[in-house]
Amino acid sequence: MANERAEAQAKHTRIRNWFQAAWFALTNGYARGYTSGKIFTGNTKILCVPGLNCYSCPGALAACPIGSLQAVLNSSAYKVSLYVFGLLSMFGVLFGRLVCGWMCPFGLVQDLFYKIKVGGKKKNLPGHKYLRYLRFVVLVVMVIALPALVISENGVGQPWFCEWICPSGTLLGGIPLTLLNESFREIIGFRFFWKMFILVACCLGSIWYFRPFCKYLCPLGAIYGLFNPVSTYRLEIDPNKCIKCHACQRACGMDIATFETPNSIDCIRCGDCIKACPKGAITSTWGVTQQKIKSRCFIDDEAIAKAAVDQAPAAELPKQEKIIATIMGVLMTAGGAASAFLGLRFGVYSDFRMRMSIEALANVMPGSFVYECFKVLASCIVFATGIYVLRYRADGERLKTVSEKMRIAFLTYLLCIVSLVVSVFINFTTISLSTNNIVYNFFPLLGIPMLWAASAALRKRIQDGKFKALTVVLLVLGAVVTILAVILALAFIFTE
Amino acid sequence: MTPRKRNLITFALFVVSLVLIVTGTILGEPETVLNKAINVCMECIGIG
Repeated sequence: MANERAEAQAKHTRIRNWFQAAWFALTNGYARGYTSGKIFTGNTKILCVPGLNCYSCPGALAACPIGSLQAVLNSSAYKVSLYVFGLLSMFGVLFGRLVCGWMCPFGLVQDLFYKIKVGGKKKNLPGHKYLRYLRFVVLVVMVIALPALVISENGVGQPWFCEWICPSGTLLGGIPLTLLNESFREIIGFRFFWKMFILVACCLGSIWYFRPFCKYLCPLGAIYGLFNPVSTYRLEIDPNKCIKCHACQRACGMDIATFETPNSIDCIRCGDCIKACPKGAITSTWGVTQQKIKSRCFIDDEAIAKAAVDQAPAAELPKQEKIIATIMGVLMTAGGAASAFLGLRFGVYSDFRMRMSIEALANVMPGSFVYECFKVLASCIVFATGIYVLRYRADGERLKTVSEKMRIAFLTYLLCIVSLVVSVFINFTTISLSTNNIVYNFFPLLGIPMLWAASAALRKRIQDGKFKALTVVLLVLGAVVTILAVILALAFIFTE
Repeated sequence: MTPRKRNLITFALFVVSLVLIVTGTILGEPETVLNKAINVCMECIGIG
């Protein structure tokens, strides 16, 4: 049993490390920068990544939140940075310090150093009890007060934290840029060696101590930590299961007694305590939701299939309900297939070809490309759900799970709309209202109410027989858009 | 704190952060961020 737990924990750590690496590759994917020694100058840098990721890294596709905060505070035009504080609080509300555990490149570096097997490993530095508050001092003094208050004669301040402390900037920006540019190598001075010293100290310290930079110095972790008790990702303890064995604290690199303070400001949400608990007393809010969706959306299917073998088959649905399920299935299958085709042909393929052939677009982040990918994904989910509904149109029990499947499509469509808004926002473009654009770009907008209506119609029809007017209106609207999408797709196929 | 109350706080904070982002955008802060991010930050890399 103990071995199984250790294996599960090791597997979880491996998954987390691979996720961190994938996140780094995704947010630092400007490959040309690593060969040319130049940084990305596209307009996605208007947005910040959640982790401590230097925007002077040759591959960085977005801005560093701490650097951006100081940049706005430095500027004579602003007294306070509403935009960056807004982004930081949004990341904090959504993730809390999950960002530190899963999305920070410098966190990954420290985790990898901690994997080096040496003797005398300890969790904390001497004086940990007080040192853990040092990061708040760094935040207030180096990130907010000094950049805002120490202003030069020409009205501009300095990014003090970046200048004197940030080891992420040295590692991701300083080292690659000085290696790739001779002009930078010629002007290296005391500050570069000081920052190298901090970087080396953090890396060497990470061999013996778990994430010393995150524990004692990181201002970003200090901000996100304040959101831990109210973020959407929280840990919960089941008091009936917890035996207070301290297994969670032993597994925790940050040395937190999770059973006492599950939402501590120090917790980086690595999830090791969840795997280490012998009684399964620790759960995360995301984990509970995931389990609910899984059990209702997928596992129930197996249970139903098994029950169908063991027991007598359930009575078939009435004819009228079967007709509704069939109409829904056809709409979803046709709409999903047409939308996926249009997205692939006019969005993903065209966008990719344009980007490969036009040099001027090389530095423009494909915001629209991300939007198209989400749209195609959402359309595929709708298509697959449509097939499912058609296949099981007589099976009331299975049709009840459709609403759960729809939630995943809802989520993908929401991401799709967010990326559309971001794309319009960062590219400063508008969408003209031609018929083609309405069907092509606004299908996802109408897809959400349509899916809601489809799911509500099936569920309510099956459960209590009520059919509301709103559902009918949305279904008609959805049907019109579906038909338009199908016509457009067919017209394209037959005219090309 | 009850889960309902906690969820309400989460939602309220989310709305506040959206308002902050929109207000900051209207004031033109994103351009300052972009200008800083598309030029090599000499201080960040320890030169200059």
